[in-house]
Parts: sequence; C-alpha cells; structure tokens
Amino acid sequence: MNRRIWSLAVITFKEGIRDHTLYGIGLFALMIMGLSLVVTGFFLRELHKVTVDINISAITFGGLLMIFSLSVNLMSKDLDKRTIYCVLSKPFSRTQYLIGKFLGLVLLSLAAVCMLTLISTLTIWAVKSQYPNYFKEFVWLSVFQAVFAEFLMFIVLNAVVIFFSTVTTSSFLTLLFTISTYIVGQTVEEVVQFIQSQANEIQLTTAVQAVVKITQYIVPNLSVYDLKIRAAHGLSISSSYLLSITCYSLIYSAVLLLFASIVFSRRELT
Amino acid sequence: MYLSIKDVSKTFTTSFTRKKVLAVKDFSLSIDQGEIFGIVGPNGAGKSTVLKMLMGFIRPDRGKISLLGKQPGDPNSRKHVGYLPENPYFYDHLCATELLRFSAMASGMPPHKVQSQIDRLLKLADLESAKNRRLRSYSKGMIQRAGICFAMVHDPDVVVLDEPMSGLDPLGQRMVVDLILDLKKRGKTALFCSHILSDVERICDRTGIMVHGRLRKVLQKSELLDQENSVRIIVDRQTPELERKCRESDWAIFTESTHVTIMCPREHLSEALTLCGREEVKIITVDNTVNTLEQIFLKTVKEAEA
Repeated sequence: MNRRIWSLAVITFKEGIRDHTLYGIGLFALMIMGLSLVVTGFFLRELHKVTVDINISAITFGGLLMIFSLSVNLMSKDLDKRTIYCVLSKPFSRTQYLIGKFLGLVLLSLAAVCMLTLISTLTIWAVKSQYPNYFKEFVWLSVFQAVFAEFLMFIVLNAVVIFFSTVTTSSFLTLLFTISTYIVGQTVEEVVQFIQSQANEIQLTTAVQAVVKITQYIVPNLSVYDLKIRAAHGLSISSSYLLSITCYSLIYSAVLLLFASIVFSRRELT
Repeated sequence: MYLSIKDVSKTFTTSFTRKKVLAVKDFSLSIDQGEIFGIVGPNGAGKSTVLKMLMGFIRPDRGKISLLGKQPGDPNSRKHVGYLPENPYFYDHLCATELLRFSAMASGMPPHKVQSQIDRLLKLADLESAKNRRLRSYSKGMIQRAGICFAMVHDPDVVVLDEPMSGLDPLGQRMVVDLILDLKKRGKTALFCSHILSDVERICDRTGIMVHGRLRKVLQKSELLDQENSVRIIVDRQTPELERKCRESDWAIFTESTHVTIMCPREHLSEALTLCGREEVKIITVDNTVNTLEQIFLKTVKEAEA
C-alpha cells in the first residue's frame, strides 16, 4: 500500500486510540458484559442465548458509540480546526487523504472490536463454565462470525462518516446523518417487506412508494449484518453468506468513498 | 520561475446572504530559486488567501498559479514544499516526534534519514525535552515551533510560512529568522507573511505590501537600504505649501492622528527644516532612526485607503 496513505492511517489510529472517549466506551461495554455475568443467572432457561445476545449487543453498542463519537470527531476536527492544512500541505491528493482517514478509522474499529471480543469471550467462557448444561447447543464459531459481521457494518458506517464529513460543514450534521443512516439502514428491509406484504390493505401514495424504493437502493441494508439471533441459537452461518456481506461492505464503502472524493475534490478549504 | 502567481483573483461568497467579498484582486508575483520574499499587509489584506491558493487549498476564480512548475492541485507540486499555516493545529494526542515522522514519511523522505533530521530540528527548536510529550500539553509558542519543524523536516526546496513569528517569544522569533537565513544560505526559496516588519526588512530579498487584496508595492532590499538614508521630521500640522513641496521633491508625507511625518533624504534636511520654519509649523522631532519598511507600509496603506 502507498506508504503515504498508510502513514496517515497510522496517525489517525494513534490519535483515536489515545482519546479518552475510547476508554469510556470500552469501560461501558465492559460494564454491560460484567452485568451479563450477574444477570444471566436470573434466567431459568436458555442462558446461552441470553449470554450471547447480551455480549454481541455490547460489542455492537460499543462499536456504534465509537463511530458516532470518535470517528465523527476525528473527521470533523481535521476540518473544523484546520489540521487538514498540515496534512494536505504534504503530497496527498484529496482522495488519498480520504482513503488514509478511512483506513485509520477502520483500524480503530478493528482494535475496538478485538478488545471487546476478547472481553466478551472471557465473559461467555465464565458463564459457560458456571452453567455448562445450558451451553450444549452453543457454538463458538457462530459467535465469532456474528462479531465479524458487526465489524463489516462498522466498515460501512465509517465510510458513511467520511462521506457526510465531506458534504457537510458541521460535525453535528455529520453525526445526525450517520445516526439516521444507521436507523434507516437497520429498518429499511423490514419496512419494504411490510409494505409488500400489506400491499392490498395499505394504500400508499405513489410518492411514498417511490421514496421507500429509492431509500432501499441508496441506504445500506444494515440488517444483513445482524447475526445475533443465529449465533444465540448456535446456528452456523454459511461461508458464502459471509463472503457476500463482505463484498457488499467493501463495494458499498468504495462507492461511498468515490462519491466523497468527488465532492471533497471540489470543496474549498477556506 | 520557482513560484509564479499570475493575475490571480479570488472572491468569497458568504453562506446566507450570498454577499461577495473580494479577497484577492489581480495578484501577480514571481519568485526565483534562492529568493526570500515577504508579504506584509494589514489584517484581512488577503495574504493568507494567496498562500492557501498557492498550496491548492482553495482555487482562484481566475489567473494561474505554478509551484515548482506544477499546478497547485497536483499533489506532486507539494513534494518539495514545506508549509506552516497561520495558528497551526495538530493532532492533540501525538507527540512531536510522531508528528515529524508523519511529515517526513508523507513527504517521501528516505526512512534512514528521518530520525536524525527529527532530532536535529527538535534540538534547533528547543523542543528536545518535550519531544515525547503529547501536543495537547504544548503552549502556543511550542506548537508554533513544532509547526515550523513540521514544515521543514523533509528539507524542502520551497518554504511557505503564514505568520511564522506568531505566538513566539523573542528567542523563538530569533530561531525563525536564523532558520530562514539558513535556508537562504543553502539556496532554498521562502515565501512568508508576517507582521514583524523589522524581521521582514532584515531577512527578505524582496518585500510585497498587500492592501485590500492587491499587491500595492514590491520593494527590493536595495530600495529599502536607500530609504535608510532618509531622515524623519515630525511636525504638528500640514500646510498646502508643505504638501506641494513634498510632492515636488518626492519626499514622503503622511498625516497621523496627532502629527504629520515627513521623510526626506539626509541632504535635503536643511531645505525641509527651512520650509517648516517658513510655514510656521512646530517641529516636534527630527531623527534618522526610522523603521523604513514601517513608514513605507503605513504610507502605502493610507494611499490605498484614500
């Protein structure tokens, strides 16, 4: 990889990993996982499902918090406080700058996911040792596959942050649009399915139908990354499915970065 | 030409009212290799805008810019350029060594040269003892010093500095002057803007005075030295005859709030004093300790505003 882009990715990663926000998020996720150790015992059945669900949710929550706070902040600080002048005074093209920042943010998400997965593995292992009878259907591989799928979603969301940072001039708007994309991305598939199944009962205007249709194609379908339930039931996920959602993440992120690059190349850094 | 700006104009449009604000108008400048060029001008004159256009951060509405023979939009044009923005801001959680390593690596400096160059610059900037501290704990002056090191770590051929003395103590200012003089000695080119006129006067081969977006005057060092042969007469008021004589003899005259300053060559001193006596104006001071660039700067600004 281009040494220049890599050097930018590394300083973005270092800047993020040393931010106290990350410690706060890590601590919060740790607390939820610790809580699962205590709370799981209150359930009288399907303990493994509760444990897996809580732990993967904690990883998702920690990762999302990191993107909404740290990733948005790292991008906006560059533009608001003009750190970008120092970076772009080096022989970076605007596209290389965006790729470097994106890789830095992805590295940051990867580090966070690794850390949270390690803690979560220990938590699940502790509960499993405590209640071995409830973990007969449990499969470690499914848990790691679900975590991997969450990481793929974080890749897409980091690309969304980069995109909105280039089209807006305010970090608040970037945050707002990223959260909106997450919410819509999680629900759009369900909405479309609901509309299709209830087509005869619900009379939607053509405009609403058009908006839903366009949204379906523009907004990333983030529900494909939610494999918590399968992992909780110990159902393995096919490698072809994992490959397809990996390709989906990479292609969607690449397209978003391409659009971001087109917009950012025209933007004046006053 | 190492660096050339030709007929460049730039207008900004405000966000809501869509009002147009002229930042730079018909700006032309050429700088040769090894030349040190300083731009001075009041706040809002458009100095930083010129530097930002040169670095490719903003595009001119019209005109052409060439940096080392390339367009500013071409990343390769910045390969051998060092830039310090006004009030630089860096990544808070990095230390100075990491920042400079990034600067060197991003500029394509050979890895084996990086550490020795970082150590040399940090020592020169008196940041050696703070090199492993995070930048968020640095004072404004220390950040400025780190910024200067950031711009110079890869030993660029051209250095563009926006207010390099800002926030620096006298020792820091001295360091910047020495660094620029060292660049000159090594045949490097520098373009910078500053408000410290005495330093600009001392360092620069040429100085441009910018007012209201236009480059009003470009002074050679020799012209400034000629001006140093002048004497300054401060009188309490101006008369039409005094003004006419000044214009006729090419003496500088400008009115300030409480007094009027006349600048004339040393050999015309007795003639000027006689005229003042005849016009019955009160002579407050006569001296030759004038800050030449300052006087020319003030005069140019006043002329532009008139």
